[in-house]
Amino acid sequence: MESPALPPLGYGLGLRRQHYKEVLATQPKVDWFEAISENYMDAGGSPRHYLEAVRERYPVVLHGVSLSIGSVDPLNRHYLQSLRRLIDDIEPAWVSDHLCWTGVDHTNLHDLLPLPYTEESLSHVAGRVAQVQEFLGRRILLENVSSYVSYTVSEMSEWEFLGEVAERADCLLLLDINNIYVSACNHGFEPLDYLEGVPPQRVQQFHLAGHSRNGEHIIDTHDQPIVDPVWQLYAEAVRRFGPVSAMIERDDNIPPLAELLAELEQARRIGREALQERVA
Amino acid sequence: MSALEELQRGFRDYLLQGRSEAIHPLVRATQERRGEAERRLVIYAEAYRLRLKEALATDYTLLAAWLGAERFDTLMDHYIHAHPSRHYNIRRYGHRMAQFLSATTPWCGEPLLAELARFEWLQGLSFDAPDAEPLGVEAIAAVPAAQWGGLRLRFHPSLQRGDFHWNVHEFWSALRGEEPFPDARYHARPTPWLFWRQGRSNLFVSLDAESAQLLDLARGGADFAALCEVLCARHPEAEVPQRAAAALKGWVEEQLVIGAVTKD
Repeated sequence: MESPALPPLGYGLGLRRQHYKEVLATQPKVDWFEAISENYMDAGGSPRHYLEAVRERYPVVLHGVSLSIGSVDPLNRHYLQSLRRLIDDIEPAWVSDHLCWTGVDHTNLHDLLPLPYTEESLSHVAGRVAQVQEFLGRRILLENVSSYVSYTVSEMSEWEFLGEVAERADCLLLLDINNIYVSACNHGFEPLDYLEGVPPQRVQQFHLAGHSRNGEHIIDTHDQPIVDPVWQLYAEAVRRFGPVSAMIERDDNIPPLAELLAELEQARRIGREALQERVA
Repeated sequence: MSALEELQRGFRDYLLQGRSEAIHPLVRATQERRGEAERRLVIYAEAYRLRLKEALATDYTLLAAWLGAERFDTLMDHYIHAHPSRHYNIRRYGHRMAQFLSATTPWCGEPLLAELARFEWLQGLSFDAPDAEPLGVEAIAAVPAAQWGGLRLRFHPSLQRGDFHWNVHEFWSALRGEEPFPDARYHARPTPWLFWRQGRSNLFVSLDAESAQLLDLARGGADFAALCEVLCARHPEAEVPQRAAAALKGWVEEQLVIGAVTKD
């Protein structure tokens, strides 16, 4: 594969219920929205109404948190069927989830838990991605999670693992720039090594977000403005990967829409400058 | 058990039960920093509980307000310990709360609690249900008279029913109106409540016992003739078809009905 199969969308925001009405009333300068799949799967009423109304006006991508691609449990057919129905209804530009596991033995831990980076995990995950893609009839994007533990049994770096999963399963990647920064701080690797280790032709989307500091570790809270080192890493990512679709993902402590739009403008500016440097 | 299974089960045992003996040796830590693996793992343990508590606090605002922060937090700790999450959607996590409150000391000694929980949970279920197109009055009117006996209805997915012995709706109104809670009052005969959605509006209303019985029967698959039989036990036979038809018309007008099938 020479380039991502899907055309870039520009600069987007996470769709949050606090902003539904304002988005529809003001139709802000946002190129696309990312909606959390689970918030709309099997659901009607108000949330679904707003998602469909936003979809009429903007491109939408779906972002899941419960696929649990790395779990040793069988894939959840009910989940996949429900996701497929939502995909049929919303017609998203693409669908993503996380490179992690979220539960075992049918107990859901509701967290994006890191995998050990071993050959066993690699072949397990790649096989399951292929199954999911076959079921959904489309390639999916997998996102790197932030983590606080790494495992003694890991045989390769996270970026080697991520790249290899993408190659073996022929899927695309969603790079969360903040998560790279958070994990780099927590595990003591160089974030630039991460960027350089990921196959560029697989990178379809960036997430930008903020985090919190908690003593000696950084916690990926996605509830704060983006900090300078993450902006710098984003600029590096644009220089390496080009005009990849980017969005701000705020999951908690949701500010007024205007604040996120201003942050998105900053992303546009930094992205534009980095692209010019790339061309030069 | 494969290494990956062992790791995931070890991590699960730590998050659910605090048992770290399996996962601890697998967590990488620098030798010179004592307790580093524990400090890293505890970030996950805290996030796990926090996330489930956020879900419960979102779903049970009335219970939380009535119990107060400290008692509600204790309740959540016990619920989380008793009930690991079984569904991928965290919105479903609290589904056993009313049952838990009814069956577990000390909360079972205060039966109002389970009803407060159930009243809000049923509203949530109604709110989250899938959409469906309500049936128009004309669709029912088009059913030939000869086929009415075998008429069965399908109801909107948002429809929820519950019977409540306590004046929980007054607690709900007080919470919404930011007024003091009323005195708790118990009624030996429960009040039936109906929760549903009309388009994007979430509604609930109390029913009389007979209306509730008819609706429950119809939801359970009883046909029109069976509803008439129930009414025959209480009303003069001549009034029965009219009463049953009025109930059905009311359901249609309230947008509770999404389908009607006849035997033929």
